[in-house]
Amino acid sequence: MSDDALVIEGLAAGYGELTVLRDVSLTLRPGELTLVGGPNGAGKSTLLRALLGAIPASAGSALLGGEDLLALDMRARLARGLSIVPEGRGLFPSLTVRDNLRVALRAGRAGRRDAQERVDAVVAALPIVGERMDDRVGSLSGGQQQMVAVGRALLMRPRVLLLDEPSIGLAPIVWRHVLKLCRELADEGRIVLLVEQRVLEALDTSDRCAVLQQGRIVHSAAVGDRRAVEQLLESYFASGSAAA
Amino acid sequence: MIDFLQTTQGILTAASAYLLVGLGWNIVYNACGYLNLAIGGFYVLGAVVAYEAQARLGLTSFVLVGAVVVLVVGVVGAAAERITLRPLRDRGLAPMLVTLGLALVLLQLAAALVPVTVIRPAVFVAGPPLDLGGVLIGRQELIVWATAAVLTAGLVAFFKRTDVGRTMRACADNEAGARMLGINVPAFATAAFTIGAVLAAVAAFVVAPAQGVAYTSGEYIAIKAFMAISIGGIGRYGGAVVGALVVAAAEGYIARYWNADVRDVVVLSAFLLILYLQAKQPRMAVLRRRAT
Repeated sequence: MSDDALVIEGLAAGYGELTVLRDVSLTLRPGELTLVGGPNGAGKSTLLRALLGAIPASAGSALLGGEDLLALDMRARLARGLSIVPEGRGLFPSLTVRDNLRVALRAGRAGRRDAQERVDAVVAALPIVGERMDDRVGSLSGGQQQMVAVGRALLMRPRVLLLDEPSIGLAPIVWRHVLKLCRELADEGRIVLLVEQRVLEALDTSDRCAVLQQGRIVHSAAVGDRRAVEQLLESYFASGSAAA
Repeated sequence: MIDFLQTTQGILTAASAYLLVGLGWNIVYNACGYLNLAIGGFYVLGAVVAYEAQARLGLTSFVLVGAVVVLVVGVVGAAAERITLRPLRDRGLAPMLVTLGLALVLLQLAAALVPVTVIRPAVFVAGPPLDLGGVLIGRQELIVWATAAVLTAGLVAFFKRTDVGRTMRACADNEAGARMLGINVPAFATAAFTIGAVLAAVAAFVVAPAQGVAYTSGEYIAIKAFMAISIGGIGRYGGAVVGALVVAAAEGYIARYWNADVRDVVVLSAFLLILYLQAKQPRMAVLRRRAT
């Protein structure tokens, strides 16, 4: 197993007294896009928040390059290369696209020259971001906002990119574009973890898929293993969570 | 005509003070999400510190006195936010209620430091008022106008052109999103509270030599500044300029051309009517709008 993998073992997390995630174990490898599906309330967003450090984990470990992320605070995890496109996108609607990117760059402590290189790279990957640079984010369509959110996450040059239901509010054609982008990001050697309800549409783009149900991973498989995927889909549909 | 212009110059001075304090209201509301009811206390503290810097430290340069005001009130504001308010973030009305207690403490502190009824430090630049075609303009009043103009323009530039200003706007826009970028949101809230306190103190620092500052002035100017930002839209910096001019003009012209005794009654009644209409008609609910 690569030392650069993110190895999650026995992760448990929740909100106060309420435990939402229980004994979650997953191995996320560089260059792979891992898809985690499941119904509303299964713990998908909680998994990402626990990995990022937005909520505390009550048990388990998440080793990245041998270092346990769970022992670090959120800012330290971000500094280790985690970046998230959160549910709701987490953008600043009254700021322009350019200012949204600048705020992220400042948070990431990018130098001026480095910052311009990063912005250029994002614009090359997502031309729409460059076209709408001086528009307020609140005036953009949902799809355009999603591109800005992904672009902003990319500015941080993440080793691990976490995406929380990016399909919400997107037209199918835009959603397919986001999926293609996720695939390209994984192909560049990043760890990409995508949590989604629209699993079927995302399956072919992914390398591995897991189903989360009531806070537990109930099934996981490599997408290339068709038999295992069929079992996984049965499990997924049995949970009544298929959105597409 | 000269009488009208003379009244107008007094209005500009009042509007400048309302604007500075109103900007202080707005900054804290945007960054922290609550109203800082201690802003009047910081206003009085600003006058007290200026007075003490001249009387006890013997400072005669208004630049040095101003620096002392900014430093002392800045430290008090930052400490007050860090110690009493930051632990109460996300606790509903609790922070706002704490600022009410903070206001009382600041007023008592000010009264203990300077036991005079009206604080009136020396003017910055001595000399007779300027005569512009029969309209007399005090030199200190010019300083009040210039301070309000420079600080307002400076704040606009700060929020639009600097990384720190943009990040403060981002925190006000989407606190959860800012946290997920690794931004230290509570630190920016402390900075915003400190800037708000310093703005109120600077308002008193420039107004006190011209008009004097009494202990009751803090509440009075805080209410007038609140009216200004309510009319202009709480949290909106451009709206604060318009609101400050509207409030100061209404009270100035009513006092001069109608009846000085009913000035506050009329202006406050009009303000209540505006609040009522804003609450009744959603389209007018500028009170609910956040900064842009």
